[in-house]
Amino acid sequence: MKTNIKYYKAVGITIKVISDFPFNENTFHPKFKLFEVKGPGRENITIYQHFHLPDLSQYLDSSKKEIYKNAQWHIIQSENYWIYKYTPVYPMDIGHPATAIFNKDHSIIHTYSPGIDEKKYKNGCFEALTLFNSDQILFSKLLCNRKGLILHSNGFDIYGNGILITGESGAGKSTLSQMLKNKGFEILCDDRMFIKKNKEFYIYGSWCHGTVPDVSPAIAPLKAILFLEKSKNNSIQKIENRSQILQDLITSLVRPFLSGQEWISTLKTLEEIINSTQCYKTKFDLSGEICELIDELFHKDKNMRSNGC
Amino acid sequence: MAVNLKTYYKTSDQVITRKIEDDLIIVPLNDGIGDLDAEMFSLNVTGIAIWEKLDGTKSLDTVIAETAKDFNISFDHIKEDVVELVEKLLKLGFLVKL
Repeated sequence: MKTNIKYYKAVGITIKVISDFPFNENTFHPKFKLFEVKGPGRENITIYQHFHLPDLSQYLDSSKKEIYKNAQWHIIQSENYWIYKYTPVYPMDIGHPATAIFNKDHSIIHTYSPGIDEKKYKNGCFEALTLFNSDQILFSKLLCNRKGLILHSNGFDIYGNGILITGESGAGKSTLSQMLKNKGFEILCDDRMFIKKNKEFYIYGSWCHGTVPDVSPAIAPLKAILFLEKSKNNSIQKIENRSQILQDLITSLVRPFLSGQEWISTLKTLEEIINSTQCYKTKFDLSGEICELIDELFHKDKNMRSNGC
Repeated sequence: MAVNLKTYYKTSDQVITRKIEDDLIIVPLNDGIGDLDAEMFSLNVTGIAIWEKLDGTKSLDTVIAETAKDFNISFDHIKEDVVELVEKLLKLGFLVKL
């Protein structure tokens, strides 16, 4: 029997996907296997995938306003809906031309991709459940209402500690990540880390990665953020200046389409992260010595916790 | 953008602000929604003092005089910095000229 319902889970949210076409093994990118679950969870949203043109008239009322428009994205908001139209423009763009209608809290989504037929769908190897280039646009909205946000960073589980690695472009996130992976530490996601508060802050792996498809469904309590600097030596120095941390994190924040009120929630979450997380300036060269320092720092932390310190 | 000391300036309604630690973060809005193409901005303690005075009820030279008094420095000493900040905020659309 052909099935056209699947469930996936990330950041504690279960996404039910109901498609007009049946799935097969190649419909979604293999990374989604890691996130597939058997059924609904505690928090659920639903994505309906359609393959015909949408009738937008039922969603657009007199209050409609254009929120954003560039070559890739056209975003319209009406009283009860958000409409996102995605068009791949550049040769490296992934995803397919699609229009998605989100209800107000983004818990019910209808995506329309008229350019995809059943054969193409079966072998689509889609990178996103919205059929856009990424589901980041969905998660950024879901997270801001759940004490969460997305940071341009790589995330690792190091002895049970959730560690974020961030820095300006070219600072060495990929280089250090490769070094840590070689040491056997688990990377949760490349370049896009989901952070959400659940009593304390946790980092969550997801399928919304950067250029490298390093993903994991694992989660870990957020213990530290490493701000990278390429250097001729290796050191990890705690940053005491909270204002500096704020400036650096603002730069790393993935900026979603949010209302003023949602931005206030996001900045409040950022403030809580700054107040509850140790941050370190991390200088490193290519010798790999930095991994020993990281290992020592967080391994020691683990021992301290197990000793009840 | 030329700044006039006798002009009244007011912070725009198209921004949201939040004070975090000693900084004031300013997020530009476009029709009520965060503008992805615009830069976020932060002000330090001095910048916040100036920002709070730019409420449209006093001319810029009064704002400079009050700020100078707050920080116990001369009008001439702080004038250039305030004008530079106001020019920047105007350019970013965070201030409106009345």
